[in-house]
Amino acid sequence: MRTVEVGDPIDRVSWFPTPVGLFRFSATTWNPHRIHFDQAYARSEGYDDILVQSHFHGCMLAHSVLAWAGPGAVLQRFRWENRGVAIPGDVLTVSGMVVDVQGSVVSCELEEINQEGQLCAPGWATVRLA
Amino acid sequence: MTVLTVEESFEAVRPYEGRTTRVEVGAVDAADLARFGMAIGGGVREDGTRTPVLDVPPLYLTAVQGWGAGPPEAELRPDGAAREQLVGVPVEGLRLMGAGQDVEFIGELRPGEEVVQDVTVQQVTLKEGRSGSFLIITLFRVFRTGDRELLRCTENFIGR
Repeated sequence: MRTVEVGDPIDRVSWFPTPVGLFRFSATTWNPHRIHFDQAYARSEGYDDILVQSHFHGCMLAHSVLAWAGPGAVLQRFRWENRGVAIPGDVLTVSGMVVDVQGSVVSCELEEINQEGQLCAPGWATVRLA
Repeated sequence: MTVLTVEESFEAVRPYEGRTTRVEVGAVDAADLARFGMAIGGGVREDGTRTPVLDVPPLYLTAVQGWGAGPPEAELRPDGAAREQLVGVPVEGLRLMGAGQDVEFIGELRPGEEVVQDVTVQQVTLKEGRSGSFLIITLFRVFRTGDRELLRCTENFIGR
């Protein structure tokens, strides 16, 4: 088993949301909310463009920490909060740090920020390493 | 359609606190999981390599907004959302946004197993923010297959 210590960084992973990507995420989650595919509607609500789904932010955080944890790692608990919106063209970067290690079970604090450094979503993950 | 203020919505929604609704998820298909994983795709590490697409993405069950055929288009809310997203809680006129989840993973999701979801309206809170009042609606979801729990999820929605 790999050695992990408190303070170890989680690999930074960048995500590049696109209109097609948001459409596919809405389709596969059976989410017909117009704010994710209808630009005119999104603008009527005061946004510059269609919005990245709240659950997509969660998925980017969860997948980033699992990619760092490696093959066979399993999420035991995962939490995130949506704090800021994101639109296609934004670059969303997930980073984090190990905050606790109990045998093969590792707790991490995560954050997803945009290209301006603004926080979109903090996250917390407990992962059992393989 | 009568559009309610946030305060009126709070009074309309509050009686639903504690109500639990059973949702039949059905058998989760391996192709559905793979499709969800592909829709998320992979990110790019600093060294330029891509993170892998996951075969069984952990947030599949808690990200899907509806499990049946869904309502006819004419019955969707004006923003396009289906009323089943909040298990029938009356939120007409509110602009709803997901605010995050807290998910405890208990059992492995195996394609082909029949899954049910029990959704409880855990709490409805009226708050005052800089841009006016808003609601926080908290749902507690438990997914099961047979007598085996798969996961528990506490999810917040903000309604303005």
